[in-house]
Amino acid sequence: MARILLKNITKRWGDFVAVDRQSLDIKDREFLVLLGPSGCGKTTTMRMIAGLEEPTAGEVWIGDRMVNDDLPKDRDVAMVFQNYGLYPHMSVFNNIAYPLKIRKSVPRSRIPELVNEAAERVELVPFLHRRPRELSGGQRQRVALARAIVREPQAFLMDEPLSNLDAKLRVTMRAELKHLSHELQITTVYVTHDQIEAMTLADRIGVMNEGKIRQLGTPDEIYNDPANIFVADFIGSPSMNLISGRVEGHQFVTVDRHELTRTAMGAMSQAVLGVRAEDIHVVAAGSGDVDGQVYAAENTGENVVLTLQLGGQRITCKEDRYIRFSIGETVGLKFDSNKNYLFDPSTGDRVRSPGN
Amino acid sequence: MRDNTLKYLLVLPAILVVFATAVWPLIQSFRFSLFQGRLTRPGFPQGFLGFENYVWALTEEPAFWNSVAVTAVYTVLTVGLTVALALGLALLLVPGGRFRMSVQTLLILPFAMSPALIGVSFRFMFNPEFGLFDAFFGLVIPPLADISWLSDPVLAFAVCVMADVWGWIPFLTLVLIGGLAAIPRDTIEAAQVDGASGWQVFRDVTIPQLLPVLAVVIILKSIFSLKTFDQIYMLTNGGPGTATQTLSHYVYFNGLKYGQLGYSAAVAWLMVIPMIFLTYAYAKLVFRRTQQ
Repeated sequence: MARILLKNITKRWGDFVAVDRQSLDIKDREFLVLLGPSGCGKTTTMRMIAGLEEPTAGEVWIGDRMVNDDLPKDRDVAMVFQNYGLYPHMSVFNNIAYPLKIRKSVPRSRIPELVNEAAERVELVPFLHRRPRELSGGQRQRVALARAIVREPQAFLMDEPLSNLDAKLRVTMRAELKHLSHELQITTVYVTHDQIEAMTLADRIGVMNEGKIRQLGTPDEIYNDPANIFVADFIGSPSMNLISGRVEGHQFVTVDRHELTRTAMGAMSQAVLGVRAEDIHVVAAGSGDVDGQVYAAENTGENVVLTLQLGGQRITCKEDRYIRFSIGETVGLKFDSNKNYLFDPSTGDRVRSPGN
Repeated sequence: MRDNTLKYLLVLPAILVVFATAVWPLIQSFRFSLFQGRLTRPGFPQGFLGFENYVWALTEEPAFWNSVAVTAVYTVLTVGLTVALALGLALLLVPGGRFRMSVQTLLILPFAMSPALIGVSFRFMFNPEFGLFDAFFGLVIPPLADISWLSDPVLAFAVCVMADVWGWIPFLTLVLIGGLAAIPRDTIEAAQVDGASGWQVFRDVTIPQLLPVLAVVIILKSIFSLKTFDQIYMLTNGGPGTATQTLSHYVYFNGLKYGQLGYSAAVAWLMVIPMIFLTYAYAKLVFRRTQQ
């Protein structure tokens, strides 16, 4: 168990910068998720912690050791790979036992007991004598997990471990992972592009884009207090409405001169208003802040996602699943003036009023 | 016309050609092996002997057993050395890098040379008067100067092995590069993180996953080593004495030089026995892989 510290690590391949002078302090026993679109550098960051990739510059610390020059085998971390990385020629038992055998950290006689214990945790005991190819995707994933938890490493590194599973299994395995991490209390770095995984599993999330962490915070902070347009746009489904316009006398006005809602800031000549779909309410035409026409209504089962045309803008909002709309219908929109965010379109950064 | 009839009609020419060029000669050579068939005497083949030619080779001919031994040692050495060196080269080349493509292209060159040509050029290079190797050893290790490589039984055998290994390494390297590249990268990385050293990764993860390809390579090379003829013929012609006389060379010598066609046909059929085993193993491995 250990703290992991990254000091200004950079990874470059030729002209391409995968990770750009990134620092990160992962606390002991913390579950940290690196979240971002593909190519944002999250996997590269993790591989530099594992030692599978050498940083071009910067330092990687695990515990109180600088591990830049250590081989992966000497870093004492356990990794779960996206494609599981199981040894196809070994039985499930031998797959799980391999790190124990190779490290000789426990006496040989204890190996069966430890393997059984790990297999029990992930409900694999009946499959110990099978080969990986005789298992389903979810079972293979559990073998990979068992191989990681069979010893007590300094940290777990998980590289999109659920992305190859089907949607239903992913939800079950997510809960199992959450339970497991709660039981084991070992520092974990988890890479994913799935925001639900990030939100549900993380103690803290680092949202990455173009080689840098754009915001680091608890799931709550990331969702409710986004620091910039990228994070606001990336988190949430449907993604946050980002509406261009300006602020005049604490009032947000769209480029088509629709007055939408009151804002904390007094005046901005150029602004982007961010509002989550669930913070806009549909009311009868004429009784809200502004009127719009229904462009599309999608019933997802748990609710209705409504796309509204408002001049040149489209706005999405989430409504109760029992309400039905017809296309072209005019409805009123009511904004919650406490739940909106203003961004500076030139920098993409959040604009906060003094004292807020 | 029914599709089925057409199907058989279409493959018929190919079957006829194979029959005329492979099956018929095989049957004929088996028939000869049961007769006393001397080209030097009138009325070929002469008398029916049953399996006497076979018994003669196995019990009365030290030269036959000599060539069996030569072929066996030659096969073990060439297969072992070629596969080991090719695997080493493949491991060096598989990570890629700037020069990989050029090295790979250069590697093809020795394989593009005909074995007979390799034999001739090695004979020249080991010539004690104007050979390249002689000049090289004379320069680096003076006591080895002017050694007549090809007239010493052991050295001549070594030269044959060396020429064959040189000619075959490139092809096997290319096959093994393919095999290594097909091993999932994350199994290797998983082993590294699990705590395995470079050697342990190689032993526990790389080799077991390469085994099917390695087996095919070993069997294929064994077949080619067992039937080596042209290179030996050009390089040493079986000599000095019979020190490098492989079975194929022995068959050729007895059949076409001494005219004992019946006897040499019998020896050729004895050679078929290990070949059948190897071909069967090869076919089984290859078909199992394509079925998977």
